[in-house]
Amino acid sequence: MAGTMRRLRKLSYFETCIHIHGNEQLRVENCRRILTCHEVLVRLQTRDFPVEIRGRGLRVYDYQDGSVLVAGHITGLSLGEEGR
Amino acid sequence: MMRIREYCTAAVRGQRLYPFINAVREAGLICLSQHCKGGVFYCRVRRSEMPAFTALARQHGLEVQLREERSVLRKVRRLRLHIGLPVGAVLGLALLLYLSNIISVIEVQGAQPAQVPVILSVLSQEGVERGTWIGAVDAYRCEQLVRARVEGLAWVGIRHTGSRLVVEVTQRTAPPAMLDERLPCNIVAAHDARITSMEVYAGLPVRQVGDGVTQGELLVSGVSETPEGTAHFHHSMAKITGVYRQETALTESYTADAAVPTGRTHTDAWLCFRQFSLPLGLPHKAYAQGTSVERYLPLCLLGRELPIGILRRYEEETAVQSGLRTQEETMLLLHAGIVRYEKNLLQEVTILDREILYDVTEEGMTAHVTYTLEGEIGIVREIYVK
Repeated sequence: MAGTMRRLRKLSYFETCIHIHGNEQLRVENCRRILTCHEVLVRLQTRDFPVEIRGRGLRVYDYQDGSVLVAGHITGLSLGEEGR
Repeated sequence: MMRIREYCTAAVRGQRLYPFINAVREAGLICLSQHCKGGVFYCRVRRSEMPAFTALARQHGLEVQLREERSVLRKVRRLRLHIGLPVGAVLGLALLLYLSNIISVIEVQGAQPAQVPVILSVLSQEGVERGTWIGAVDAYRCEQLVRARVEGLAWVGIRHTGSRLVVEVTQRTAPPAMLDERLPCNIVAAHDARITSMEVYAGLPVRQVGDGVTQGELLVSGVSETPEGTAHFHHSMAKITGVYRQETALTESYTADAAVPTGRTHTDAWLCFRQFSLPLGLPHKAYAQGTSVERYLPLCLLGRELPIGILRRYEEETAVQSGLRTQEETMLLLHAGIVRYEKNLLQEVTILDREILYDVTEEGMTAHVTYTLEGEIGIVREIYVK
């Protein structure tokens, strides 16, 4: 059942999707919440796992299309455990 | 760089910042450049969404500080009550449309300098001049009129490029002048004179060098008769010079009226646009008597004259002062008149002698000049034959 739902989400583009443009822009699609929004650390909660972005002068842009754009000098990215 | 849309920079302070941030996300408000620093949440929100944003912050017990950013729409909003700008824009647009639809300059190409004012005058009589609406110009009719009223034109074409009206003309090639060498004529004396030389090229001379002749007397005959009594008429040609006398009299009065400047001057100026003129300064009462000089200075752009300019009029008041000349001054004036007379009227003859007799009266002085001249005395007199 869980495998079927995952395939359905994948087909309908509801899965978490992360695009990185160099070290200056990072877009997270299907973001649920903003957990931390600091100049050196941004933490986002997606449907499946948390995303942690480290860097300098980070800014979060929310265009209300379900995605979040993080801009700044990105130095690190880590993905948390699924289901947390 | 100034943005087009209006945005506000918000600084939100309080304890529950992250629930508020996510509430903003859920409320569907576009929120840019979000970051937290020193326990303050900074972001940029559209101006139109600021009431919802502020209400949401109050719901979460947060304090909001707003600052409007510079933008084009904000400037326009601030200037919306300044009616001068839209009025100026409309007037400027109207002026642009007007200037691009009227004749700003008329160029005449291919005409002789003396024909240009005539052509412009003909066009002006038809209402075609600077300031005329281009659409109202009947080019075909103007071409016909200019060709009919201006001599020496073979073809006239009128076209306009933008606000410039170009009149192209082609000169008519004149046929060669007809020679009247076959016209029967005599040569008679123009003055009472003594003949000093005769060069007869055609005709029968009836006088010789040294003869004295009276005015109108036949010098060279164009009629010859055969022994059978048949008359033949010829064209006479001759160069006959003689010595003759000519008299003239010049008079100058002792009294002289002269306009003397009083020292009062005034300069008026107008800003001229087409037939409209706007005075630049207070009105000035014209002098009862004086001289005035006008000078028009058109404004130029890229070497071309604009239809707007400044007209300056310089006025100087004068007063009539009567004076008396001495005999010497009057005589000098008479001499100047005699020189002028000789320069103008006796240029083609040789002055052999000049006798001047002065007649002095109470009012003035008269110079009676008697010239002895040597020059052409033969004039052509046609023979009218049925």
